[in-house]
Amino acid sequence: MTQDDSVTNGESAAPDGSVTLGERTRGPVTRVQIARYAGAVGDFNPVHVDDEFARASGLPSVIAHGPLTVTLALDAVVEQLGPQALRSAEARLSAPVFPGDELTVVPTADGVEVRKADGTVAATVRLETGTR
Amino acid sequence: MEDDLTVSPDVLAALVRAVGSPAGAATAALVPYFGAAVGGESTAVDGLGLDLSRALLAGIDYDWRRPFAPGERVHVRVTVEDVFRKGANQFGLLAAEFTDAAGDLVQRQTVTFIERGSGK
Repeated sequence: MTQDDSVTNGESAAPDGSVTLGERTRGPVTRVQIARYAGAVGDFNPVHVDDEFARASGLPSVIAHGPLTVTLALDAVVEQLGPQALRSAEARLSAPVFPGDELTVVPTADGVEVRKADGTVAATVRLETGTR
Repeated sequence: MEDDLTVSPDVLAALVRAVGSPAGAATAALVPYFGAAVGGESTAVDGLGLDLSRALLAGIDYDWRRPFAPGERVHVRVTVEDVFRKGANQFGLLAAEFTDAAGDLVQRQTVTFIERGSGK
């Protein structure tokens, strides 16, 4: 991953001048956080806000919105590169995130992945960065 | 579905609180909308013909031209990009394009839903 030299908030510079993302943690995710996200984007699907509905769907509890998990991953990147550096993202969700999950946003060859404490990958995000 | 929206500073502030990090304000300006929820639940359910109780969000892609500006007016156009079956699973893709007052693209989202083993 590379980007322009003008953004220097927190990332490390490789010998060739490119920028390398570091690992960041987000969470633990809370029910309040999930409810706030529901309110912000207007997604009140009961699987995110109603424990009874979630359990009837075979889940142990409500789950975080997939876009919230992706947003937290992007936030870990924005923290390091700034918002202007992001051009595109392709996020794939692979496991539900529950209240109490602490997430680690780990750099990969072409973006980041979001890992739960047990190592399960909750999301994989391919990123394209650069100047606009 | 098409609509005109104001990028509400209150909504951005709510999203910043949900993100809960020092970079939250910058992040919120990139992702203040979830395309599938812009037109309410019916956009995804009616448009894609999915059973909401069995549909899962499988992915979301963003193509950014710039962050949203607080208070600006944007036009959003949500379209069904594709609906297809793969094995026992039904997939549905929604696209949401946000343009500014000048008609320039702010961002494009593609949202992928999967309904497992629907047997339709």
